[in-house]
Amino acid sequence: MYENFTELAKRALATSQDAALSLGHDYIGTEHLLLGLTATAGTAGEVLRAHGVDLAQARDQTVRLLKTAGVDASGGKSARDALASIGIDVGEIQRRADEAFGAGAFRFPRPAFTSRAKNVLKLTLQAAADLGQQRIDTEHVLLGLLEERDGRAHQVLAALNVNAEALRRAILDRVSQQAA
Amino acid sequence: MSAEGTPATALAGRLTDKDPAVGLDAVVALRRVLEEMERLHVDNAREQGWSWQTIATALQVTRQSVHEKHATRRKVTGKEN
Repeated sequence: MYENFTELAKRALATSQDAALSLGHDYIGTEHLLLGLTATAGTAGEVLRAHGVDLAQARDQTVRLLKTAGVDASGGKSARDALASIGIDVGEIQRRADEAFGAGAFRFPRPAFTSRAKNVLKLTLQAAADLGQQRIDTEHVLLGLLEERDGRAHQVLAALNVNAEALRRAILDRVSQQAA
Repeated sequence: MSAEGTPATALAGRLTDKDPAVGLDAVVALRRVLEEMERLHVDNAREQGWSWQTIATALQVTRQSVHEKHATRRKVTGKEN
C-alpha cells in the first residue's frame, strides 16, 4: 500500500516509528504519527508548525498524557521479561544478530501500528482519493489523522491549544492553492 | 523473578499458568519475537539470492503469502526494487 506514498510521506511514517522507539513505546499510535509529521518537512509539517505545534512541546505533552494514562514506556521490558521467563534471552539474540546481520536488523519489540493508527492510514488513502490525488503525501496523512478523533493525537493537540478544525481547513486551503 | 527451578521448569509454568493474563502475555511475546525472526531471516535469504518460492517452501507457506508479507516492506525500505 505504500507504493503511492511520496518520499516525504514515507519519511514521516519512519520518523513516527523512531519517535515511538525513542519514547520507549512498543507500538506506533496516532500520537507518534503526529510527532512524525511535525518533525518532517512537507505540507503537513509546515501547517502544524504554523499553527503552533512545536516538536519539543508536542513530545512533552505526549509523554505527560501517556504517563497519566499509565502506558508502558520501558521499551518492551515486560515482553522481554516474559520471554526471559520462558528461557529466551532477547538481549543475547540482539547482540548476535547485530554481529551477524548488522545493527538494527533485529529489533525487539518492533513497534507495530495500533488499530487506530491503521485506521489513520486507511483515512489517509480516502483523503487523497476524495481530493482526486494519486500520490499520497504528508497532507493526506494529516487529514487522516485529524479524521480519527478518538486517537491520542487529538488529546495532544488539545493540550497544545491547537484547533483541529482550523488545521484541517488550513490543509485544504494549501491543497487547493497547489492545485490552482 | 524468584528462583523456582530450572529455566525449563519456568517455561512449563508460564505456558500452562491458569491465569489467562500470564499465558496470553507469553503468547504475544513469543509471536512478536517469531515475527521479528521471520523478517530477519527472509531479509537474509533474499540478500543471499533466494527466490520467493524457495523461501515460501522453507517456511511452509504459499509464495503469495510470503510475498505479500515481505516484498512491499522490502521495496519501501529500499532493500529491493
